[in-house]
Amino acid sequence: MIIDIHVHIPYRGLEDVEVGWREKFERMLIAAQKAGIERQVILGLSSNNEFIRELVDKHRDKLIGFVRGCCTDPNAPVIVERFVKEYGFRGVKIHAEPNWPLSGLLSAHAIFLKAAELNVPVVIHSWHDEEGLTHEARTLIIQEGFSFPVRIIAELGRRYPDTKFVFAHMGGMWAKALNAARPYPNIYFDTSGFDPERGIIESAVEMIGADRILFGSDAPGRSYISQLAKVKYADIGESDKRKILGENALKLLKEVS
Amino acid sequence: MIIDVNAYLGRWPFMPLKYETAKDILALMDRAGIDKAVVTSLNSVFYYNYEAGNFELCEVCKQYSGRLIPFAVINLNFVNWRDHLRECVDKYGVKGVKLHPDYHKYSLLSNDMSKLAEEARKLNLPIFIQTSLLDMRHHPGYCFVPETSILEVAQVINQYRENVFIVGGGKHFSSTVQQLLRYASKNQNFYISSDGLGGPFDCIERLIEQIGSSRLLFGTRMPILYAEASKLMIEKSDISEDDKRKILGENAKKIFSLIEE
Repeated sequence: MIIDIHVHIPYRGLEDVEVGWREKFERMLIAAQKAGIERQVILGLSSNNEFIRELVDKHRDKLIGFVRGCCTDPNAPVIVERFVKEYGFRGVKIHAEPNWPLSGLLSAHAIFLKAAELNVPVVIHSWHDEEGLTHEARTLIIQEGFSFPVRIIAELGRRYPDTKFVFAHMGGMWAKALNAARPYPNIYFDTSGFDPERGIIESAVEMIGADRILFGSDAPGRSYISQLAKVKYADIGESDKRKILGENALKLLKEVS
Repeated sequence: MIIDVNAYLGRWPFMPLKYETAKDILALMDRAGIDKAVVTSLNSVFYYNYEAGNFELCEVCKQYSGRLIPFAVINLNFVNWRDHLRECVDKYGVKGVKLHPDYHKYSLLSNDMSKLAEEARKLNLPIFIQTSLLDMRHHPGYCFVPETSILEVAQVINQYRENVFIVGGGKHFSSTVQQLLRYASKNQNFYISSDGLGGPFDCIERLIEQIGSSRLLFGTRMPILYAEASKLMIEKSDISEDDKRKILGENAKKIFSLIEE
């Protein structure tokens, strides 16, 4: 079974859905099916988790909901609990928010503890590590508030051993991120969102093992087919591919208490 | 016939990709079901002397002339680029020019670009502008290379209307293509290489709606990217079989036969 751990509702900006998103999502479902993806995890990108709930309710056999954990909302742990317990959501998504950059991740303490209590994973957007970049590079590639310090991966792994974290996009600067995560079995990565570059999946398997890598596409922004090719055509064993494409996700998502 | 317009031979300096030689690339082509590939030298991008990379490539391509089509990388910062290009064409039958202005640090708006456009017209060679080899966000900090401005590319396309251009690119290439289409909307003298088009999920269908199937070329950027990613995106897209055939080979065949005329 192929499970896509990283899919978005069609969005505009970070906090709003696109006009005509329902129709577009129906087309996404067809495209995913055509690609051979059986289940998709829909991540709450905007703070309006109700849209995700609507989709999941409509397509229970195909979709799994992850609730957006809004780190600036003191009520976030309560919301997370409600969506998991009452609506069957299976995880939490954390992203940068207006006036809340990802460098402030440690302040999401209460959400991390709640996720551990509920035994649901926390997917965290991760990409732009500023460390080691020139000023020019920072200016060109890092959006305001999106800076993600890779060192925080190790910090979270150490501080919250009972919380399962999935860092999206292979942590962005993947070699550094994988290196930071190596000692922490509670840290996972998804494969979503970057071009089908040879060598990244292979390196990830080599550095942390296939058990902690999950297939994700980042659709609709990315092509399901192209993203799947990264795993299907990687120079890794067939059993590792099966783990990455679905078995690991199945295990992680089934462990919900 | 399936033709990849954007493959590379040589060494990727940032990590071992295991596929560097012509035999390696042919094995990847066989695995992906690709009959012919336009190849350029990665070593020409990274060597001090870019000419050496082109010569290596041309020698190898002689052995596999039925499957590998050589394009010469030209570095406009070298004074005698014209002599080198002539030699590549006369001696080795090079079929096109590949430009990496990002790594080689020259402007497409320079006088030399004007001379290159003229030379390429005379020699009937398409000019492939690769705006970036890799999404900039994955460049190592010690070697961050900003991609070539698509506005410069558009300006060149608009200025040299008698030339044929192929454009390939890096970060969020679909969005970059949209910019290009906006700034070079009046011209038809350019083709898009498909290797950077990794999204949105329906990007092939959307692009075909905009520009038709005659101006999209199948490219892989292998071995840096997996060849199958781009090929499967086209094969599985919701476009007609006729359009797929054009993109996967017929358009490229046409460009190259035009060159042979």
